[in-house]
Amino acid sequence: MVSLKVATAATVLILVPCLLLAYRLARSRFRGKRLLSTLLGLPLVLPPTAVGYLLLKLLSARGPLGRETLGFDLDLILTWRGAVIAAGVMAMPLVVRTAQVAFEAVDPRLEMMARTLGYNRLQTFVRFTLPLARRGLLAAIILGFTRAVGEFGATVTIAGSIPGQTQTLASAIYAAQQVGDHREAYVLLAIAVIVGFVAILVAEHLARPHAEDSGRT
Amino acid sequence: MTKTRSPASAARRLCRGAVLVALLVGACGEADRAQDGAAEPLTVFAAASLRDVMLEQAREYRRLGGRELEFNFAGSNVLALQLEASPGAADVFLSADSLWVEYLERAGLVRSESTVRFLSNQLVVVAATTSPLAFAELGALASADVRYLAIGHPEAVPAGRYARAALERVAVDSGPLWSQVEERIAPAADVRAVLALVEARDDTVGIVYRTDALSSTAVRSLLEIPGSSTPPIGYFAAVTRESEHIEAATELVEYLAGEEARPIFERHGFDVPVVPRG
Repeated sequence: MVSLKVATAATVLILVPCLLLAYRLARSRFRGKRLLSTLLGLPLVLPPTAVGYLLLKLLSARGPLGRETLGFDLDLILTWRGAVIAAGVMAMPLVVRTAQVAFEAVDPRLEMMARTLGYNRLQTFVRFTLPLARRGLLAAIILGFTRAVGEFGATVTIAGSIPGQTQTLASAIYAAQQVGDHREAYVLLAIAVIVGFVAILVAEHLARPHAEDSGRT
Repeated sequence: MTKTRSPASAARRLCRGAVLVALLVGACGEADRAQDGAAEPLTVFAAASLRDVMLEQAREYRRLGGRELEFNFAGSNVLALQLEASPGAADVFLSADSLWVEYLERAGLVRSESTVRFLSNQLVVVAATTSPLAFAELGALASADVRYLAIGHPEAVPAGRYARAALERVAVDSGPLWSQVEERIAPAADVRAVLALVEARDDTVGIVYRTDALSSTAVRSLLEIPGSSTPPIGYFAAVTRESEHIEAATELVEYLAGEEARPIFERHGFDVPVVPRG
């Protein structure tokens, strides 16, 4: 199913950059932090079609990331890889924000203790911070994934809605409705509701604070 | 020690904020509606391909003393389904084919006695201005140089249905052209979306109305599809059953089908039927 492929690829693609950004936003102070945080949040508040149009113009043959500027073709427009980019951009703010909250909930003193025990920064991050924040991070991933599954506006603008190639669950619902095929629309709707329901259920369960690993001492 | 924020409480706060914003937006909408003056504007649901020309017609209509027009532009199929869901939402429906007008006539949502065919159009094959693609005949669309063929959704959007009909009528070596290119069809929500896709990819061609090709400087027309190879492409105007301004809406339809509207339509590349319409 195209939706699962696109959403999985989008989540994997943005995961590492999102976690690093979220950690930096949670832990350090630096010039332009608020600006960065605001820019990262934009896809959350902009109309998805605006993001899609922006991507379309960036990636079009003569755009700043287009074939003529780069000298090679990223081949993203009307392809499933383009859908991945669109879904990834739209899911990014949700992942960063949720992960940031999860990192903030980890007591920095635990990290400092790890450092005094001789672990370097990377080891501390991988062996202490990530495990301590794991519930919030899983919630971030699930929310990002479902956002990617549900993304429509930006995806359809740059990747179109080609059945079997770039048609996702969201664009299939739109197509079914365009044609007036209510039966198919209902079936797809039911799938969307089930996926969303399960995802929120799991994410809420993970996000509920547990004494053992919410960073409280 | 509980100074740390849990993700759940952050999410709750986010939700509360979202509800507040939604309420505010709703309240603004109410205030706007309360300000309406005496001569209310007419609401026109118009096919996306009529966008530029109808905006100009609206100015002209106003200049001639007619009512102000408010538009909702989308694929005719989308508009028809919207009218089905909310029959009083528009006064006039301008469809790019007869199918969706008939759909609403069957549902009793437009006044069939008011329906007129007021325009014709023609299909053209377009590519980006900078695209190296060139065609002498429609059959060449099967060539490997064409990565995608963008058309309106072939089952719903009028321009897409016409395009499909045209491609089904052309025979190449191994059957109808449609079955040769079907794999490469990129269905779009309306003709304007087709143009956006064509502008973005040099190896993509689209099939749109001649008038759309004229309206964009980023695409050029490669080939005209003769009217003989498509079903007649007609635009239909109809007054909705639940319009609260039937008289004004009928006047608008008469204007659009009349001599006064003709020069603007022709300037945009539409064909105005000479013979009695309907």
